[in-house]
Amino acid sequence: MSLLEIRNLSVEFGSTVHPFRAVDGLDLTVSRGEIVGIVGESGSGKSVTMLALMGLIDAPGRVSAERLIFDGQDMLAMSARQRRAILGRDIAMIFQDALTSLNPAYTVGFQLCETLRLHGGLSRGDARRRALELLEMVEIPAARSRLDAYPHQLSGGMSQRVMIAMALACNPKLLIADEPTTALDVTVQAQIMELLVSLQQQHDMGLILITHDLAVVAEVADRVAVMYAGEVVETSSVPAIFDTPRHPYTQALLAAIPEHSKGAERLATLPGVVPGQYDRPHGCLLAPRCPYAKPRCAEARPPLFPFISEGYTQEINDLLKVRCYTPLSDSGEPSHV
Amino acid sequence: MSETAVPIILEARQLSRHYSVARGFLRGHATVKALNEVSFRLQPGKTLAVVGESGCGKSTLARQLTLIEQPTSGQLLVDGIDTATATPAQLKAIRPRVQMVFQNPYASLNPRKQVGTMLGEPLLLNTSLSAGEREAAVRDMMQRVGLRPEHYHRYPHMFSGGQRQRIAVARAMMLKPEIVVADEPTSALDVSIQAQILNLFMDLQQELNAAYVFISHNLAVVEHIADDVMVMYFGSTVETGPKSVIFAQPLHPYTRALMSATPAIHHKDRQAKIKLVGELPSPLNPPAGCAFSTRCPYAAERCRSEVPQLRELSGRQIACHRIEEISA
Repeated sequence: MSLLEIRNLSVEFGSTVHPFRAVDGLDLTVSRGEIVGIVGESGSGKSVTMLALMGLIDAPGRVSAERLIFDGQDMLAMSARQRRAILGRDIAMIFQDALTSLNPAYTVGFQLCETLRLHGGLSRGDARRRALELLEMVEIPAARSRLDAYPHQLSGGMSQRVMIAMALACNPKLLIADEPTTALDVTVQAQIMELLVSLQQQHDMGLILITHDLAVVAEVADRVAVMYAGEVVETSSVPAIFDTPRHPYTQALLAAIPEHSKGAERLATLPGVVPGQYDRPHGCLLAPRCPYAKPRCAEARPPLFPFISEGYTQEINDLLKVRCYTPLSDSGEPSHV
Repeated sequence: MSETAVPIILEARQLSRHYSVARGFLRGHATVKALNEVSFRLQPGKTLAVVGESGCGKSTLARQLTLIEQPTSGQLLVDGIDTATATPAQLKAIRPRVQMVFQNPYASLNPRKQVGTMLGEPLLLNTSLSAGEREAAVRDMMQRVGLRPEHYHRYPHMFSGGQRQRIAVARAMMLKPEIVVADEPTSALDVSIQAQILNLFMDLQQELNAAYVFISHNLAVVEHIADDVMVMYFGSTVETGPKSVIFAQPLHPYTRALMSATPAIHHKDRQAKIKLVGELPSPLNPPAGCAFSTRCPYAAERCRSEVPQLRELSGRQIACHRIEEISA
């Protein structure tokens, strides 16, 4: 049984007459020991999805879902108090900007102990011992002296390590990392990703990795969901999705990376921008920008279709879903269904 | 590098910039060496990419090149004129020829000015064009960078990040500069927008034959846009040379670590990760020898005591004591 099951999650903002759907009909499952990547550009709804799961969407935002099951418990039916007991203990989150996520007025040790005492019920001394263990686990040098350091005394990579230590304080079953390395330099990014993955394996956690960096996902994730304007447009396994993208948007995203146009004069681009609140098309959301769009694409929004490729094993085919009337073939051309 | 007949539009000779920082009451000032003896030459229409992590002196270099600050020592020559000894009139003539594009398009545009006014301002200050001629020039540039005519009277908040960066690029290009310094111009943008802006940079370079100093930490971007690459660490150049040479065979341990740390989409492009321990040393307390020796997997006794100098080796310049032993 999967650790997390989300079915048909939607998040709406604005008036009830003309709501703006930041997330529309999202399905996602995560099992223990699995790394699921969510990729997409800014404004595609990646972060809002996770905030909704954490119950962090405030009014006037509205969250609705058919199913929201975590570890056998229905999160939708839960009271705020029950939900709070799970969040931070069984589901933990790491945010993008570690320096602004830490409280500048308290020491690192205090902030770590706070979590431990609240969720674990540890005594002051036990909490401090455990906090030290945690800092050592995330490979912070001179961990003992860092316990009494304030966040401004730490570098970006160091604060992100503290954030990871804090997230792992209560041995969560599910860890959500929202752009954990975006603010960091590449050599530090490599250190942090290696740490995250090794801890994820040690603790057999489910890890949801939200990022706009496709290469990071390609290196560590087992499965990927690509989001565009609030919808999942393609879910697939790694490396199938990077070798043969099936949705035109995934293909365009990959083509835009300079790595893919080595030696070429110009980079392939997708014209235009992600549609905003007032200019979402009636049909397929990508249709105005899609090089393969047909009249049919502008008429009705496509659902997520299963996709069967003969070259794939049963397992890969089972995971593969594409929101496109004419998904791309192995050669990258639109097929005619 | 050999002397050739090719014109050099921008040349830095042993350019250094040191800052003096207060350490508190009754304690002396400390010197932070943000930039140490950096040298390069740039030809018209070529791109020099400066690569390195935060704190390596990239942005300090940009501030020297754009004449925002005076270097502590060393020479900066713009089209053969030494900026340190130039007369005020000469400097005034040089400034419009060097323009800059900043990293964050949300902070670099004045929120109270319309796009048309903003783009017309360089012309107003530096040319004797009439109002009508200025508007025509602005509209022409807007079209070149992919902005629509109706954007002329709009304010920056009405644009997306990618469009703002187009405005910033247009503003830098208004005076047809010979040198454009771009400090991480795409790092705040999504990949699909980044591709659009990079294409724009390359198109404009072809049209205007401008020389670019392109500062970036993204090696994939650098590999795409650069002619020459300069890798910096802790204020000094560690390896520099033509792009093809550096990317085909990076030699310096830091360059190699940087390349191996860059994630790749496809398995075949991935290199075994060279794990660097720790982070940049504190600029107030720099290591005695090679700045990279605190993190370098190959550091030996000599590296910790003696600063390596740049020297010529297989088609590039490199600063490393042990490079022959390591690469053998």
